[in-house]
Amino acid sequence: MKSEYFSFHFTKEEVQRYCGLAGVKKAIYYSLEAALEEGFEGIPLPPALPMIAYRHIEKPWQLAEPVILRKQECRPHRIMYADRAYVGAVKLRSHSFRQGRWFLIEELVIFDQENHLCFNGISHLIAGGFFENNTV
Amino acid sequence: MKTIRFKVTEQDIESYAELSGDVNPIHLNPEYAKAHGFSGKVAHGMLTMAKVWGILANEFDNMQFPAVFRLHFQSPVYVGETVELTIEEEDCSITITGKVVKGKASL
Repeated sequence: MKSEYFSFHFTKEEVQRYCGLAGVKKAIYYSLEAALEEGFEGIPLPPALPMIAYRHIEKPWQLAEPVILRKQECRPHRIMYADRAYVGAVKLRSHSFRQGRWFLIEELVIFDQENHLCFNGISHLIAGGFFENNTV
Repeated sequence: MKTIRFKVTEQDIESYAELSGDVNPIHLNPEYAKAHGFSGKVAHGMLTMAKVWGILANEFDNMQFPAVFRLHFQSPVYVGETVELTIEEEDCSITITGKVVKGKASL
């Protein structure tokens, strides 16, 4: 099962807020000039930041609370930049019901405008419930 | 081997919820979290991941953009807790182990 592809971009402000939370003060994340000077094409995204793209994606399934993240893998395939257009989707790689809880693996994939794979993020989740949207 | 600490604050959790749109009540509502077996508000796993990356990015220049960044969450990190990371470098990989050193629960 897979969501449709949704378009989105990450803003400079999101990068700055994320880096503020992470405690990173490197100028490349805050200043376009500093990033260009270091050879980047713009303000780069930290490696796990693309996971916030979930907020832009409507999945054809829902999880009931409580939802717990037990393992997370982020694979940046290309450097991604703030204020560039991307498209992404979430795939449900597996789901099973054991001992009263749902165990799921979801994969977020993000491509750039040239259709290059830029990022995939694999989340191992435990949820109180799992529903396909047409059965909710 | 190196050890570095970070703390997860109430403000961190609220900010990450706003940034990510992840408003799962186990992160934001202590009563809800307790009703589901936790001892208080739980930090987002992705917030913990951001803090770990922050430490790596500040400590190691080549860790700005790792090829793979993987975390296993063994136990919850609760608001107000301090996590101590033990960082071991080996060839092209870095292994990090975290444990809670101050607070009300263990990682």
